[in-house]
Amino acid sequence: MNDNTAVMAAYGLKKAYGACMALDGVNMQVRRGDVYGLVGRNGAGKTTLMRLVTGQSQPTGGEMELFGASGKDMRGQRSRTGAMIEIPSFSPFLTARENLEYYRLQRGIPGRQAVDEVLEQVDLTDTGKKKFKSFSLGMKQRLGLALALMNHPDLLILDEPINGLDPEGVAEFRQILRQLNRERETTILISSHILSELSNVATRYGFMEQGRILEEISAEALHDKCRTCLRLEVDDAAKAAAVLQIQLGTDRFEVLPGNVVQLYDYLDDPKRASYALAQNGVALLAMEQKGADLEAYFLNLIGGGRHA
Amino acid sequence: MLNYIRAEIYKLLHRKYTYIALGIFLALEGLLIAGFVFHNSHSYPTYFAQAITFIVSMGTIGFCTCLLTGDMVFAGQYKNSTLKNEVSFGLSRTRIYLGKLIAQTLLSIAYLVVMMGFFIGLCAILLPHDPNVAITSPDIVIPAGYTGDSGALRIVGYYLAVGFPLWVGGQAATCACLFLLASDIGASFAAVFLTMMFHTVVELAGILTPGPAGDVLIQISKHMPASMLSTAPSVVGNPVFLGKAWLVGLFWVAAFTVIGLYGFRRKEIK
Repeated sequence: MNDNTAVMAAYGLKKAYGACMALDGVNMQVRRGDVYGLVGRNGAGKTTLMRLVTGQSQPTGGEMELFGASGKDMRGQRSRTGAMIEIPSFSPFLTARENLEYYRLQRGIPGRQAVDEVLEQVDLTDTGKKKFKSFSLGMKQRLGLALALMNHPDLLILDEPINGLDPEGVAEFRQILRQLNRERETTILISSHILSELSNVATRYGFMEQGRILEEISAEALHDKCRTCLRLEVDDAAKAAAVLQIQLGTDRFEVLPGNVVQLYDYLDDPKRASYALAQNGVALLAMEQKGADLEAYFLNLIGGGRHA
Repeated sequence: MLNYIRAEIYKLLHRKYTYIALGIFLALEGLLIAGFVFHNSHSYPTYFAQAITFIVSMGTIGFCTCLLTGDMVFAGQYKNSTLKNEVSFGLSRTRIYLGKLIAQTLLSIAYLVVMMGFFIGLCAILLPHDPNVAITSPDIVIPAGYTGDSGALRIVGYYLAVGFPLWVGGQAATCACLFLLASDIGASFAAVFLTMMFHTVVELAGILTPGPAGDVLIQISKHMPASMLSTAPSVVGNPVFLGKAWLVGLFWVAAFTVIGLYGFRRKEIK
């Protein structure tokens, strides 16, 4: 499903609020079919980036493309997107159905069933005459998602969409995203602080810090980078490799510069590895189990210490 | 644009606010008419022709209605952060702005028709009629031959014909305030100032400014909607004044729409 066609791209994109650079030269590409997870801590520029893509703010520098259109032509392409930026906002005095019907009429989406379909999709069919102002945060999130989905978007832009959802809601939400991506080939740009949840759906990641994209990486590549292994620091890496192959019968290791061997086997029996190396005259200078999840990878990338 | 206006009408029809505000206006009119009826049973009668000329004294209510209908249609879009839903779908800001202005104007016209229809209709049913009764009002300079029901209806008709473009001009000013100022209260104060008080400030500036500049300011103040509306009862039947009222109304619509659109198109949607 993924191809290299850029659905959304930014080239040196900048946004300044007075002296503060919210975006400082963002370069990124969201390709068709991606579930692009935007990872960054508070104030990194994720929401600002999404606000620029959706036309709520104007950039102060750089360029953006949406479905290949740039500049003023981008506006016409926004009808192919669905967005939920920050907290979902609706008329407080209307019900869920009335709010969606209002936007259906405004956007010229044919057929009243469009409203029923999305309400069913987000499980909000039984809210009756309850006004939006009385909704829980979870219900508001669901309604925000319903609006974003109502026009069957090619690109879905979601900013912290699972805030306020209960565990069941999170699972349903994940299911909806997977289904949209798989069955309708909807490209999704999503940010979330709950990185474990993001790692369940994202196929590509962009790591943001201080208004810049530090790294773009596919889920597969990230998985490889985060694989758990035994990191062996030895006096002779070539000899250690031979021992691992001959004595322990494994070739699931990598030899890295600096006489370091990363062993992806014997994770539950590291003593056996160290014993075999010692028996064959390889000095084991250090051994540690290494591995990272998305959160650890991100913290390591930005220099650690603070929360995403 | 039609879709946008349809959506706004849908929203208005699904708000209690629309009906409650109209209900209050109609109740106040009903109270006034009840006062006439009560007065008629205890004193000299108030005729239909005399009662409906009260409309001429209530022109300021038109500007208040602009503020009210503006608030109903705009519906706290900044406070509720709902403009992002429209902008992010790619609706042009011009369409959003003009759509709201047109919806506000349509709602004002609907209010005007219902309120005038109710007042004139109820007066016609409940009050006595006399084709020769003299119309007396401290606010109106009655032209010769304007007597009875037909004379009163001509006065009211002229006043509404003058008032309509001026109220629409006020509507455009209110719309600009609502789009340009993020605070609903701030926008309301600005709209009240522009539509109902600005002419007094300009007039005062004219009085305090010596020479021809002062005269120009006084002339400008006389050609502002609220000022013209208060002058209208003294020039009933004057076609030149009617034409001026339409020109001033159209100028206000054009000027405030350009200002409002210019500001809104550059505004960050938060």
